[in-house]
Amino acid sequence: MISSGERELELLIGPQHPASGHMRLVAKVDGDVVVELRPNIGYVHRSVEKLAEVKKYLQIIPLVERPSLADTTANNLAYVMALEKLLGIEPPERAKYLRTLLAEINRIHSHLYGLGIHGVMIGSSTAYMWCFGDREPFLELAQELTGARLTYSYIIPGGVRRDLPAGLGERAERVLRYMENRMRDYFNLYFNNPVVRARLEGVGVLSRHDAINLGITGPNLRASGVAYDVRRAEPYAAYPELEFDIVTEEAGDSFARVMVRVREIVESMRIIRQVIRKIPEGPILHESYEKLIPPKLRESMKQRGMVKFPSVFANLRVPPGEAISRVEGGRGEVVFHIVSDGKLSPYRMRMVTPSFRNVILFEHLTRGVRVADIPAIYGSLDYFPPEADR
Amino acid sequence: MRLDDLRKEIEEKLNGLGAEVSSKDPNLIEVRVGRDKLVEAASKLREMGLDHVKAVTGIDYPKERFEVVYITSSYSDSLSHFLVNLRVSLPYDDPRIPSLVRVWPSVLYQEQEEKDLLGIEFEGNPRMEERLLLPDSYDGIPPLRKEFKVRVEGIDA
Repeated sequence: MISSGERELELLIGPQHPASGHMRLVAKVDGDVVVELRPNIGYVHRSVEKLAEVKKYLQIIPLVERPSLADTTANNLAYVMALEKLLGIEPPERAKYLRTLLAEINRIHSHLYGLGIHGVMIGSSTAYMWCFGDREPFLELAQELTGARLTYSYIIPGGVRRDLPAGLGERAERVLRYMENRMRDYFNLYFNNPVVRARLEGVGVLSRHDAINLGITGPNLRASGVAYDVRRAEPYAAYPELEFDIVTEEAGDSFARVMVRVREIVESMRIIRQVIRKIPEGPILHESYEKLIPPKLRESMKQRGMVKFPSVFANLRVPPGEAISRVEGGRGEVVFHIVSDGKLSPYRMRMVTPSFRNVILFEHLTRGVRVADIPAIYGSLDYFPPEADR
Repeated sequence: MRLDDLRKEIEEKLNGLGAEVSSKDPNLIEVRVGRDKLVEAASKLREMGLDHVKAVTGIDYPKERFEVVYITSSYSDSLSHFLVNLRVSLPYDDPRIPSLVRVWPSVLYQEQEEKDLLGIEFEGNPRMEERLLLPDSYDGIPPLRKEFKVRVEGIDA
């Protein structure tokens, strides 16, 4: 819209799926310089928090996964961790390792998803195809472990649903070696490509001070030099026993955000190797829950390495109280705050996702940039609209 | 830093504001404060290094009260292990609360969401007149309130 005598033009980007999901960016532009940009979200709101108040505790596991399609393990894990705090239960060691294994496989394919979308946003359809193609071996691994490609619902109160399949360790090693070789190709074709560098370096710079002040999370925070990672701040699952580095970059620009993700893929591969090497033998479900299963079924469960839910799980009652959990997902920190009044559903469930924490960056990083920089910045945030809208 | 040390530090810092400070293992501290002292308490916590808010939770206890919980923490190595909840009760017929957006800019969208879905007014937040997740035309009961009933469809209905 432009009225006579005015220099500024209102430019609407979306809401029909401008990039990674339905959202709208309302930009005021002067020529091709962005004067102001405001994200307009809510087009894919699923009312997860309200639905949680009418669903039973176990039914909420698939519900919380749905908004973050590429990064479901983080939500699954954070929700179950909050539940376990209220139930006062700790999963067995082997289950902790399996949770970590899935979380890291998921981190890699979530990062590849984000890098691929960013690629096509700045015009490199090859990067898009490569990333999405190379996600596939990791999805296959996750599928072998959990039975599903994306919405795993693998983590349950007191443990995990399935044991490690025989031979998965060797197949994982093959996938990791493949990815290590591919990394070189990515650098040659994409990350060291002068066109890519020109589009991303120095574009959308987020200072360390602003990153902290705005409560930014995940790779976007670490790319501005803040070494915060929940796996270190409040370690969970098997992370206290594993070695890994917190990846940070100093520049805070779009390229730094991409590089944090690339280097985190390497760290995640390191974690996966340790998990495969160090995973202890033992049960995958807490013994107090295992006891609730009839002996015959329990035996066949152990042979098949799969958990059949104890029937009491359907009407799982959670003691009254409040619990807060946090998990470092691929896109950043997932926070759950559950208020229980002792009934079959949460009294209140607050779910804060990394994309919702990061949405403020759309207005913060775009002031004064060129219109062509919008996709370069948007993509570098690995922002996922359904995850923000919940 | 140990949980008890942090708790003592917070108690000293908030001295005179009528705040109730309690702690829960392993890493959670809860600060309950009156609505008139909220901004002051928040500023003090921010000065201590609690530099961002992870979540703003509004809770509806029908006909009785609303509660708003700010879950704060820090990105610094010494404090990042801890969570500090800042909690306020509001009378049910007057759900207004001063916004903390000047203390913690990270609450901008979260306060707007709680206004949108729960109908709590955060005075001073510049986005109070705009819808966030709901359609602009929505004028029914805020959907996160308990009096809003989810309509069940399908085979269970």
